[in-house]
Amino acid sequence: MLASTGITLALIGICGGAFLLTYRKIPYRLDHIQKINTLTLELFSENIALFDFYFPSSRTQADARWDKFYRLSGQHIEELSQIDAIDQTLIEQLRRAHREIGTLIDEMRGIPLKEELKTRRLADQVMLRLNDMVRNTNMLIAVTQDQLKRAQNRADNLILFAISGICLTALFAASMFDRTILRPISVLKQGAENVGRGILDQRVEVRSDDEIGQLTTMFNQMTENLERLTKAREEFLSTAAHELKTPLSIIKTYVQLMDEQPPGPEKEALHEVLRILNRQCNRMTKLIQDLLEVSRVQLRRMVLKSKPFELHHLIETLTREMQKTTNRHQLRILENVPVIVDGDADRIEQILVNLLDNAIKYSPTGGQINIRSQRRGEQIEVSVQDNGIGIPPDRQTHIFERFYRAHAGLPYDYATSMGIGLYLAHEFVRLHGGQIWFESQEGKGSVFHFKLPAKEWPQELLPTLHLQHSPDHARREDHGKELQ
Amino acid sequence: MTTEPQMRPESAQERQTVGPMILVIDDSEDLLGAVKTALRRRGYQVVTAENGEVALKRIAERSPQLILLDMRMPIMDGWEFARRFREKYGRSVPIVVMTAAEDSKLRADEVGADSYLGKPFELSDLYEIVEDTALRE
Repeated sequence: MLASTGITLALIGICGGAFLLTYRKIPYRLDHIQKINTLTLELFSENIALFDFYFPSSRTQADARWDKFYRLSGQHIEELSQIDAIDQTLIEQLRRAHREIGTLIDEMRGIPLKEELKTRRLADQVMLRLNDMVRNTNMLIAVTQDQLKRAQNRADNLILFAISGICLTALFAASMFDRTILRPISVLKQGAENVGRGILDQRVEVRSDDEIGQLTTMFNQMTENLERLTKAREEFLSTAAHELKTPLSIIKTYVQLMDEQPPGPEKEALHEVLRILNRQCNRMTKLIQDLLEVSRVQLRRMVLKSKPFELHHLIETLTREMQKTTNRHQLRILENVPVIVDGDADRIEQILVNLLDNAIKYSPTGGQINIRSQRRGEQIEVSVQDNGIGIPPDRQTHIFERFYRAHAGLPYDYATSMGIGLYLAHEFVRLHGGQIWFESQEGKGSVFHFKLPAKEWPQELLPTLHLQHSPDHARREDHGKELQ
Repeated sequence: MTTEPQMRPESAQERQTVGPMILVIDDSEDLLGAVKTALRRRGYQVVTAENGEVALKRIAERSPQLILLDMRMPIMDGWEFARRFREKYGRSVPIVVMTAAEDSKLRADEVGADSYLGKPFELSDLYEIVEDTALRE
């Protein structure tokens, strides 16, 4: 397609060039004719020159003059006949008149001075030929000027044609360029952006077998490979999680069965042990789930299942559930505005669980944990405040990084996390288009805040939202529940 | 079932066999044992099967009022079992999906189950869900 554009442009150029070559000859020809015309007219108007032959004193001068005329006009006629595309009969007549003038003048030179009559007769004939030449050249001038005019018209047309031709070709080339290069590249760019966002099941349509087409095919192969690898990894992860959870669920069920015994001294001794076993089972389950989530976030395969839900209910239920896991801490909701959030309730619950979990874990001596949920314009801000051990200043900057443990030196029970909780909280908040941040003072405690978009719903729209008043996650997610 | 762990001698209440019949399908004998013990203590009759194929045979012999169904199983998995079961018996018996998969609700929706229980679960949740679905009839 680019080649055809080039060919079109070249053709236009050749046409223009050929025309210019012929066109350029016309003024050149006119020049010659005009010169002959001038030379002839000059002699014709002063026919007196012929009478110079009568006098010996002026005869030499006349000789020279006629010689010059004969030579110059001869040259011009010859050059004129070299130029093609001219009326050759006119040239022939011109040439004949010229030749005859030459003969006549020679004859006149041979006549003795006294024979005036004969000279006059010859002079009349010369004048006749000169007249012929003037008429001839005048006609040639008219013809040539006409040609010139027509050539100019044609030149105007040609220029117009060339300009429109070039414009059309440019337009064609631009559209071809757009269709064969720009558009496929833009489609490819869109595809690459999608891959960047983790959408791997798309393929870019291959429309040509040029370099762009090959690039597209290669891109598709790459995406396919990536998709296969990602799927394999995800499959492995979910299988691993499933396989790890299966023995855990068996252990957990038996632990609970053992704890169902009727009260008695035997039960007293066992109860505490079974409670710990059950708690560690829950912890392990949560670690497995978190690991799966981390991998998914890393693979960018995390998809939010967003729908409007009542955040204040979630906060209440969750606080109640988490309170059951500890008797050294008081979990208190200081503020909880009714608010509907359009988000993934499970993920937002995970954010809250992770924050509350940390608050409990890092205030080992117990104390009060305050929960606030306040409206901030178009957003809702939730904060969890503890009066625990806080975060050392030098460790605060990396707190949301994956596998970063602010309290790496602490014994296992203290810092059971793998540095996943806050990383996930951070990622989930980010996926919801919110922010998460904290303030912390070593030895005094920390406050973690997160903000989520939460526009106010018009009252009349509320019934259409199908809000779940008793979220089913309360039963499904068993974190926090302990043997009582 | 010899695999059932004997925590303590079964009480008279546990041995009673008048409660609703529950079919538990899971490829882990250990888990079957635990769930069987737990449910019997609550007065239910329990039939177990280690895969979908065995389960379909059991259903023909006994007529359970509730099915607890694991998804990943050899020979015949939960999806296939649910499909065949619904084909033959319709929606007469509620199915509760019991899975260690990440999204147990999604699994439940896939097979048109009535409820679901994510593994590992709390016994209290098991009792609650069994009571809710078995007595709903």
